[in-house]
Amino acid sequence: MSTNSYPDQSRPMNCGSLECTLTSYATARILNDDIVPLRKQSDTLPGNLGNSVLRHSDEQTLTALVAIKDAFARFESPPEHFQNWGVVFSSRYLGRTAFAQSLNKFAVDGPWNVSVQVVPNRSLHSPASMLGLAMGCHGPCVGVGGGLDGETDAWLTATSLLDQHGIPGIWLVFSGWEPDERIDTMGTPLIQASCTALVLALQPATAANGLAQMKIVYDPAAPVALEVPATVTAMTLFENFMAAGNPEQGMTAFLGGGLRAEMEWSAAFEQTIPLRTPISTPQKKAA
Amino acid sequence: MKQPDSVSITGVGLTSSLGHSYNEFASNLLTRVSGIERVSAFEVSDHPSQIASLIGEIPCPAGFDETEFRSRLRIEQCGIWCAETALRDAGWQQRPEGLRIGLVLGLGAEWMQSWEMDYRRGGRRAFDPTEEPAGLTTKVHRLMGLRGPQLTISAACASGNWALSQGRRWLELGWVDICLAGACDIGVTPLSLAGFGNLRALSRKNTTPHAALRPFDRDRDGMVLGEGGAVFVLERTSSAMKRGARRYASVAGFGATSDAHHMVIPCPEPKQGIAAMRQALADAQVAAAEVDYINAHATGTPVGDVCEAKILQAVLGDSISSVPISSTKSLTGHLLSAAAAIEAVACLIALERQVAPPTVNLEDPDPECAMLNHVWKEPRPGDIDVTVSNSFGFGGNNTCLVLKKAA
Repeated sequence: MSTNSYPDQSRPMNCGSLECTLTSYATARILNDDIVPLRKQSDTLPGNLGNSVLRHSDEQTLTALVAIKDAFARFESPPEHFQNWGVVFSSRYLGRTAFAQSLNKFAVDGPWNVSVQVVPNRSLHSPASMLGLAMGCHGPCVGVGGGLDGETDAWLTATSLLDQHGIPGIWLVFSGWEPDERIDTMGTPLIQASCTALVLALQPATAANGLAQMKIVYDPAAPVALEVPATVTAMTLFENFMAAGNPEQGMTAFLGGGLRAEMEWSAAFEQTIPLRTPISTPQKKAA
Repeated sequence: MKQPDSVSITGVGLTSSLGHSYNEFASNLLTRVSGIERVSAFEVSDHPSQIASLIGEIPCPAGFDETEFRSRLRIEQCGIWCAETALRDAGWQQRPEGLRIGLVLGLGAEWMQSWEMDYRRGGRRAFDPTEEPAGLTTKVHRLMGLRGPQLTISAACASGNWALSQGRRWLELGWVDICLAGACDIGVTPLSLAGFGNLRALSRKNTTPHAALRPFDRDRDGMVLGEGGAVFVLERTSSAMKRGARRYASVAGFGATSDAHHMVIPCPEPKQGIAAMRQALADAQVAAAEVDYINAHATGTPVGDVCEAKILQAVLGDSISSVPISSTKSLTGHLLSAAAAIEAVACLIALERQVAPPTVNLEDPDPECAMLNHVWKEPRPGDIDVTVSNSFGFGGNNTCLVLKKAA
């Protein structure tokens, strides 16, 4: 018989924490007009996957490839290879406009004209798998989130994988459009938008040459509910922090469920890591 | 050093073409009822594959407003039904204040499915997302008033195994008292049936739906899409025992790797698939010879089944001829992101009822898969204490989950 009280409710002092080190980072922001030329520059991007592969990749994946190239160049002590690394990729509304055009084509032409590229390249796992392919990563490659509220998912997963699977590093990627693209029924963009990506290289807390240390802890005083998702992307938050520039100050962010992220920056890193910042707007009403 | 408490499964909620509860699903699985039929929910005469495993109307959970429930998208109904019935199955109809329940859902294409559904209703969210609502995990979390962390995770067809792994980790860390973990997918839509069909991933045996999905068979010609989901209640074993909860199994081991080979095709030299299985067995502290049943990923595609047979041969070694193996997709269809979750249910049934479910439609084993100890035609009774469930996904995602009978 089950009872209505819980026999062994954990206390915070019994709760474990997850720690990791930031060892490199980079950002990229690409206007929608510049995406098509980028698809023809495979030889300038990690893995040289071929223009025929990039032709079908989602814009957020392409932008992340640009950022990851810069992050690689920024390592103080670059790893010899990434074959045991993993990828955690938090995208926003991946492939929405391409999918909208597929819906239109389907309405006109029926099933035979639906592209075989939709499922492999526009599913939530797809960008992580593509980055893993480009970087030769045989560690876990997973997609997380998918909407506006996916950034905490990314932090929880990346730190957990580093802690649990004994892997040497994780590429943690946040991507999204700013503002969100809008298209007409012919697929023509109605606004100028840019695709953004923030790439962080995370390694175990013991890694040398870290730019920052991060820790996720359970805190009974921390909020249970997630904050209202930011409509700006993680990269813009990053840029805002860079502009504010308070490197000596630590930072705390709340991940929901009573989890709190703490960050401390080393002398080598004079800026801050972005996380979802507290937002003063009211909570969305319950679903 | 003190070993972490093990993690037990204490509740199951599911919906699939074989039923909307654990017992109904078990009964149909073991009596070989096929859920695969011709699609009638939309016009399929021009689709290359016209069959699927469909769940029909998803029941409204007790205590929910039927009208409000029916107004939701089917993927939402699926998530709510599975999560709520899992909690009830675990005895958590009433929950003490402050109980920290986490939520991890494996979801691969929820946005595409919701945009397509919206488009078919005349909406334009795919073109202009100004009014885009929260994702499914957030909706379920809020609706059920959960107080633990939440996570949406996707590794294509391996997503469900990932969800169970992450839920187990949160319990080990003490971040939650209980964790709901599972996966949902309502992937049988006009566009996805066309996309997978044009990819030549789907069986075209349209005139014989029940016989279409033929894992490991020489005459196999692809998978059959399915829909549904399964969510599990995870608890620390010590806590579950103290409150006298039913324990289906313990989540004993997990392994995960990536091929880094191709976005669709599995690597023909499956080193990484082998590594994932070995990681999971090591995590569970189980030798290959101790495995009593393997639920194979085996989707019925020509390339994938042979690739998995190579993995199984490498990992099992001399035990290849003694460990029973089957693919329950032959009855349930391929539930995509939810496949691993529903196949974990099949493993629970094997552990509870001490019988391995069969691969149906396996009549003439492919010579390249003939070395396996197939459970075919009929369920096979046996002493089953350790099960393994393989799930390999698009993008080269390889996972393996080990479940052990509750001691």
